[in-house]
Amino acid sequence: MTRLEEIRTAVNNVQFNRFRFWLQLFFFVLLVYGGFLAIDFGKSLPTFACGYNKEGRGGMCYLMVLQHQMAWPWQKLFSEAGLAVLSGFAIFYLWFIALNKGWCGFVCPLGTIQDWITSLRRWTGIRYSRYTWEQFKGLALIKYVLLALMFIIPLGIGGGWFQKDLRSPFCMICPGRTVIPLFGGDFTQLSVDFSSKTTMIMSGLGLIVMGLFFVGAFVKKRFFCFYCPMGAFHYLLSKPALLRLRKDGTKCTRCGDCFRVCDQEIKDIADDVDRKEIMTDDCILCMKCVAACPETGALKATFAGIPIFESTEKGFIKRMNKGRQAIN
Amino acid sequence: MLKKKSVYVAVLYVLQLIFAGSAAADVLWLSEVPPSRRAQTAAPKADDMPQEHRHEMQPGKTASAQSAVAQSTVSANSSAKKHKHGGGTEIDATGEVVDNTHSGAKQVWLRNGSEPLGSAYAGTGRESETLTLLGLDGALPDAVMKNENGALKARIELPELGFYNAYLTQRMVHGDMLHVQIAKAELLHGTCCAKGIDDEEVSKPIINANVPLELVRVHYPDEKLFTRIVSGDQVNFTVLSFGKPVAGAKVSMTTQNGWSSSKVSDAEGRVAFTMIRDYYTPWLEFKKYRKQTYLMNADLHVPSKVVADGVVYGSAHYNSTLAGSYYPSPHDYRSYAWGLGISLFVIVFGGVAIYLYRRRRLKPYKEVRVDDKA
Ligand code: SF4
Ligand code: SF4
Ligand code: SF4
Repeated sequence: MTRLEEIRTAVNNVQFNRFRFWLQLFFFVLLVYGGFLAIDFGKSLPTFACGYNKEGRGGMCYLMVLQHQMAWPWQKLFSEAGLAVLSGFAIFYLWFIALNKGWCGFVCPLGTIQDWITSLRRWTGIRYSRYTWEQFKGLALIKYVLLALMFIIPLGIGGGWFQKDLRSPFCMICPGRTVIPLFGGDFTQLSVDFSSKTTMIMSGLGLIVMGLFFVGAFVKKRFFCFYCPMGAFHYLLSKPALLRLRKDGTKCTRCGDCFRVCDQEIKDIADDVDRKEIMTDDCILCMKCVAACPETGALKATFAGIPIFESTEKGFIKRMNKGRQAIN
Repeated sequence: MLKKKSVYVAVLYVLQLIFAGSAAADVLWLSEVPPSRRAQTAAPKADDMPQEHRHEMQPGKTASAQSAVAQSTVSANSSAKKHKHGGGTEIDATGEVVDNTHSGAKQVWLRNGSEPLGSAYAGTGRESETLTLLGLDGALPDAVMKNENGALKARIELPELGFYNAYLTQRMVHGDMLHVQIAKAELLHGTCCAKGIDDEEVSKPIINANVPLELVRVHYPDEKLFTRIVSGDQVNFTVLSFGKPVAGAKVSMTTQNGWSSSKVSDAEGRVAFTMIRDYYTPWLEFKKYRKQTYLMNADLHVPSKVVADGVVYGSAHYNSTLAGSYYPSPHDYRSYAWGLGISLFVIVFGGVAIYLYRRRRLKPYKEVRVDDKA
């Protein structure tokens, strides 16, 4: 065995869930507490490093900046100032391309919080819920609606159709705003803003969403991610991304293991034996499916075309014996 | 008609002189609030300001102010260009002053009067004035205030993030007494979010050791480059003369709607005021970002001899103004009880609903047997 093969085997045999837990924790600390250590990754991060977490954030969620800029008066938006929007987007895109939706599976603090809530549920022994196929198909559209509104409303503000009170409409209902600052000891977002009808409704909605976030994430894995417009935005831009999830249908036996571990209930991951690029719009590139697949070479993660983590029979057995590959 | 008006103006002027005392009557201050139609209607006195009153100040203009007239014509073109960019203070459709803390382009108007809302925009009778500017790294080139539609206005471009002070100094001599008035503005090229700058260094207030009387707002420990003073906050000031604290100076604060309070500076030159709440409006008209202005005014009498620019005066009277802004307190419109109540309700209601839903689905299948024989 060459050195490279040794490394590959070691990686493929890794106790994946444990590795992922620590990596998520690392990114969580970086993005939620990094600000205290003067870490700043800029204002264009393709993940929920919420801007409302004023002191602690180690970078800033691009959605906030985007909505802010979209709400500029049209005259400004479509002038040289618009270049600032483009450059911000370019940086966002570069960040995104590197990890693709891996930002969701490994980096997003809100995703990590949902995974922690899942661990809590698992510990209590309460079982998790799944959508029916019909529900799945219908609800999957919500994220696109939210994404569209996230552009339309701010643009409407800039055009004078909507009140300024409606600015950053998605942030107002985003659980990132209500939940992430709590980790920095900031509870100010847990209030209803009665200063106008619009703010009252939006901040009230935000707190309803926060309630739903906790209940939902408790019984449903990655509950919010299914509705997340950032996830939808990612998917629409994912063509040139470097990190990819690939499937070799000829090696797949359709055992369904990958589907069972998938937090996002993606059926295609098991059913589709034709497509090579198997990442769907709901996928969060968590690679749990790769770790759970018993067929060597059926699923793999590649970076710029180079396989970095691949399903192998040996790895599967190692992980299963550990009994750590919890399915629920 | 005209005659009637001028008589009225003259009477008003005389009354003002009697009641306000001759020297202190004319309070000049620097405002970042542009003259809006609304502000003007709210200040009916604006047009009635007696002109002679202003003329009185003219001879006292400093040498640098005189030279500024020449300067102003030179810079006329460049500032006209800047205007197009819309930099500086804006007023939005609702008549609110748009917060421009994040911008380095500032506009400052000279105003005359003791109330933030009622003060006139000083313009008539003045062609230009000079503002001296001071930043963290020392003096900046002077800024010229020019008459624009009857209001004296300066456009100032603040190069770096941080605080800057602008001063307008006017001197007069009343007999043997030197009267100096210093209108000061503390301008902020701020940011809420930039990281990696030495906040502690750049957020320090700037002190000018060359002015005979200065009001310095003491910044909050966590103020950095973005802070909103809200009703209910305590605002602290230090009174300095040539950079040294002055005890016994009379300092007054007047809020947007005319509430005012006076205090005397302590041994370290400190005075503290609590920002009152003076914004009451029907709920539907409430604006949480309503930027209101408060005006500080400090007076100091020096009964002994003073020397200024080599001339000896028997006594001196210094007056210094400083305006700032404040906003409604979040306590007036934010409710944590409601917020937590809504979330908890959703959590409890959602939890129970899911539990019941699952229980229903768990009910064992009950076979209904039909007894054929019966
Ligand atoms: S509220 Fe949500 S969308 Fe807005 S900045 Fe925070 S995480 Fe991003
Ligand atoms: S889909 Fe989930 S993990 Fe991805 S950005 Fe949204 S909340 Fe975060
Ligand atoms: S398909 Fe695989 S990578 Fe995507 S969410 Fe499901 S388990 Fe994770």
